[in-house]
Amino acid sequence: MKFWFVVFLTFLSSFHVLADSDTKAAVEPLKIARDTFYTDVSKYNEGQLSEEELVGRISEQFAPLINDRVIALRVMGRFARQATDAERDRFTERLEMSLVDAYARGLAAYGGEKLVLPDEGVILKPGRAMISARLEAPGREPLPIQFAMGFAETSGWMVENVVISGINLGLTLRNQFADLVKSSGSVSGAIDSWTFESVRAN
Amino acid sequence: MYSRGTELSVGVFVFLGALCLAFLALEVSGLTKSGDSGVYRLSARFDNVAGLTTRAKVSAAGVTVGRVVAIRYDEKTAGAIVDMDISQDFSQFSEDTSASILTAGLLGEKYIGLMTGGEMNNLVDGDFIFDTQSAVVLEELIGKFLLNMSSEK
Repeated sequence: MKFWFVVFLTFLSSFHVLADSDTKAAVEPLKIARDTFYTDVSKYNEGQLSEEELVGRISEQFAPLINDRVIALRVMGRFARQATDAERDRFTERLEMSLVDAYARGLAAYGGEKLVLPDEGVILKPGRAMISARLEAPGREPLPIQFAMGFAETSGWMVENVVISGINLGLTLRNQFADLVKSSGSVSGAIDSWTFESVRAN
Repeated sequence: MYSRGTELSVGVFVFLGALCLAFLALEVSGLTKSGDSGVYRLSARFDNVAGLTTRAKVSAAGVTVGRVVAIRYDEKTAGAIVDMDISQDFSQFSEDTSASILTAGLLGEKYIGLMTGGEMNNLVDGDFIFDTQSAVVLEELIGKFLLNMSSEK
């Protein structure tokens, strides 16, 4: 009996190792979000969805894809250690709202660009993957985009950072947060001043 | 005409000058021992390390905390892996610390700037930094600028 229990546990642990090292699984959430987005945009073009509905659907699609807790800590940077738990939670909430809103409104202004995703990502270490994609638009040079993905036990692969044409968005937002702390004089003040406009500026 | 004293003082002067030059060369190239208690190894992956060399400085908030010890090409990610030795005196870098390749001055040497993140766990010997900002390549910038100009016309 004990033997079978050990075999079962070994099977479970090997499955876990596979899940956080699966090169194809890391790309899958992005492909689903992209394809759903294309479907929603074609519905919008056919008049089946209003602009507000399109923005709402994109927000619904993208919110579970973004690991807002990890991103919030990264953006807060060194100030995260000075902040209280309540402040970290408050910023996570504000950042999630601003990010989803900014990207939903950005995507709603879609001009026929195509996000070309690879079949497989690169596993940097178990639980961390890098996906090199490109955004193609007619008459323009393709824009290289790198998605930094992290694996969470409960929610699978999620986006933790994006690098567009060599510009690290996470780092840019971190600098922006540091500027807000300086101008507002406190971490709490910076959290309160963080708006949709802060993200959209990037 | 030549006194022994003059020759000796010229000799001492030249010797001191050579010593100063040697000291300056060692300081600039970073070959001097810092006298730290020890180091730990961190690695980071960059898309491009243009101009970064081994023994380049690794700094955090402008303070030198370590040195680049090796740069190698990574075939798996088609990027560059940079190994850094960080002084044990600076062991409070969080797991989500970011590393950027920066330039000292307008045309100065390249170095790595570390910026700590918000995670509570710290990086330890052998850890990897995933959040990086690569070097700015002037040719790429000019290319993009020209392309944007032509597409706007």
